[in-house]
Amino acid sequence: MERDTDSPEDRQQIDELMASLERMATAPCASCSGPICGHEALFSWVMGYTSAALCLGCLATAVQNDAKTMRENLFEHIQRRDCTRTSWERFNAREGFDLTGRPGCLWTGGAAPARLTSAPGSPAPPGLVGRAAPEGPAGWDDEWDAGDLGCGELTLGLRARMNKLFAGQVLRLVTGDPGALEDLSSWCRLTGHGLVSAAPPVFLIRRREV
Amino acid sequence: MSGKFCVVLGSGPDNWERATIAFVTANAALAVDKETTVFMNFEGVRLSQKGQADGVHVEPSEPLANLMEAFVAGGGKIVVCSRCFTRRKLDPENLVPGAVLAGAPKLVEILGDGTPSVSY
Repeated sequence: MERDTDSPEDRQQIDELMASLERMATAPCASCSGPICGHEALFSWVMGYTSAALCLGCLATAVQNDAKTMRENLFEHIQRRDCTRTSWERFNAREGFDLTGRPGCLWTGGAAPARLTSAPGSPAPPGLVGRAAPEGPAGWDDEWDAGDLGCGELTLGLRARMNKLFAGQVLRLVTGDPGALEDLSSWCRLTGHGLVSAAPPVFLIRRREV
Repeated sequence: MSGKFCVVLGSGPDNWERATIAFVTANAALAVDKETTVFMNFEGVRLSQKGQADGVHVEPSEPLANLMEAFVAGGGKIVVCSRCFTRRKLDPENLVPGAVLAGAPKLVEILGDGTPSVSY
């Protein structure tokens, strides 16, 4: 919800984000050329697609994730940041949906349902933003114990896992491969992901912004 | 033109002549101020171990140990394929000075910008 206490700088940031998203939403999906809504433009932006948006289905395909799971994760993630939450609410208001809820353009059943809570005991969806206890200078959002996997096999698996994260999220990787320090340094330089910390066999890698 | 040069060395005790000329070539690249890497793979990784080159002298070149020392002293980098290294059960605590373990991702970075390379 936009607040009277938002600073002029905050409002400008939100206005600039909305302008970008509206521009993205006027174009069809960059993959299938189908129509997209403002919410999908916001989803795409959060996932690092800042110049051309993808529809929810193509976005899930691009990052090799389940669309329903990713939709929920993105919704939760968006609610945690003022600029993205406000943009979400503006699109809801514009498209006639409940201001803070899940819009009918992306969730079936017409009117947006009230915010849902996870069923007790249900597993956390992959990529869920829920930081575990930090180990070192930063926490992490997902983790992968790759055993002794190394070389090209390690980086190919790493690519798939990093693609499932949102921009800025962190993966904790464990690998016993003796060449991992050099290989991960090279891979991060080439891909633009950030090597937050490297204390073999534990590495923290941040997904790139774009 | 790239200011880098890469020598990929896949030979060791199985062909001392190739191993020797690899370092002769690497030193020639270093001598014209190219940022030079010797990437050891296959049998070449055995040269990553201290003492392995001792006594190897393929004339008319200089002794291999001398060539390797000169290469590292001149700023050359030695990268040792971790996959080939592990397969041969070599000792990571016994690496020659200047050598680091890495795999294909590192090689992709070294060569990915068009750096010229030659294989022995």
